[in-house]
Amino acid sequence: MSKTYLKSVSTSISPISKWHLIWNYWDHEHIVGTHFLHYKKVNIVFEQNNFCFSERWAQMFSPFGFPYPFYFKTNDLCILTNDNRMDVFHSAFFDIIKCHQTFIFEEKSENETKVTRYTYLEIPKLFKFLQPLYDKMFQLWFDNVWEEDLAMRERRVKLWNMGFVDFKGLDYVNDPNIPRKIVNKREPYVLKLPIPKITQIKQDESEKIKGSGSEKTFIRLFKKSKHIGYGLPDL
Amino acid sequence: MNRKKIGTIKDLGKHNQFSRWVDGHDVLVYKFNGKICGMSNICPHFGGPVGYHEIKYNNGKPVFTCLWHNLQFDIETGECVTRKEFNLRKYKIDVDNEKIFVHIN
Repeated sequence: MSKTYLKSVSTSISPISKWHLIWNYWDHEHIVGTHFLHYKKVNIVFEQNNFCFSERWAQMFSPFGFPYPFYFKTNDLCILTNDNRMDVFHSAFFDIIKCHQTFIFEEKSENETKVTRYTYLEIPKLFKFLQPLYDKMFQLWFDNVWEEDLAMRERRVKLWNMGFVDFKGLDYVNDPNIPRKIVNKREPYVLKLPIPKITQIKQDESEKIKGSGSEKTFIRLFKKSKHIGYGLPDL
Repeated sequence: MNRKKIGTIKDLGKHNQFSRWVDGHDVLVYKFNGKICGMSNICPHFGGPVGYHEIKYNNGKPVFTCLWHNLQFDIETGECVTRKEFNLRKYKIDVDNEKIFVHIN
C-alpha cells in the first residue's frame, strides 16, 4: 500500500537560552511529573550522550478536545542531531504508526530561543483526508504540553540565575547562616547529557540491595491534583 | 533574621496553602492541624515547586510532592521521603492581625 504523510508545523519562542530549553527536552523523567495529566509512565531503555531510547504511555487528545479513554504506548528514539536540531522517531501499535518529529532551535539572543517543530505521521495514502483533524489534534496536544513546559523552563532559568546548583539547591536557602549574594551574571549554562536520574543518587545499603540505583522506569504518583500552582504574585 | 510580610490568612484559600517569593526565597506557607507553617518551596533536585499540589499522603504520612519529578517531602520535618539526601528548610512563621510574616536571612 502506498504511503504518505500527515504534516504539522508550529513555531514558538521560549524566553530562555537554547541549552536550558534542550535540558527540558532531555529531562525525560519530568513527563510523569510536570505532564502527569498526559503521561502515566516512562521507561528509559537506553541513553547516551546524544540519544535516548524510551517507552512512553501517553493519553492523546481527540481533534474535538476530549482525551481518548486509553493510553498510547510509544517507542521513542530521541537524537540530538547537532547543537541546533533534535530528531525524534516515534512508533506505536507494533510499528504500524510511525511518526518523525524534528525540532530546530534558533538562539535569538542569550535569553530567547525559537523552536520550530515539524511532525510527519506516516499513513496509507487513502487516509490523507485526515489532515485537518490531525492538525487540530496535534496543535491541542502541543499547546497543552508547551504551556506546562513554559512555566517549568521559566522557573528553572530564574533559579539558575540566582545560583541554583542541581542536586544541592541554593546555599543561602539551605543554610540560614549563609548571607544571600546577588548573582549579577552567571557563566553560560552547560548541559551534560544524559541528565542524572533521581534513582541514580547514592542510597544507603538497604536501598542498594533492592537495586533501585539503576532503575529508569518512572511512574506518575497520581492522576488528579488540585493545582495550587507555581505561586502567588510578588507583594 | 528579617521578618517579612508574605501574605494574609485569606491567601491560604480553600486548600490552606500558598507559595510566594520574598527576597530570593520561595516560601511555601500552609496550615496543618491548625498551625501555620513555612517551608522552602524549592526542590533541591532541579528546583521544582514543592507546593504545586495539595498535601498528599505517602504511607499515611502527609507529604508535599514536587511537580517536576515527584520527590515527596514530609510536611512536618521537610525531610525527603523519596531520597534521604534531600531536605527542605523550614521557616519561622508568625501571624499578626491576619497578616502572615516569614523570618528569612
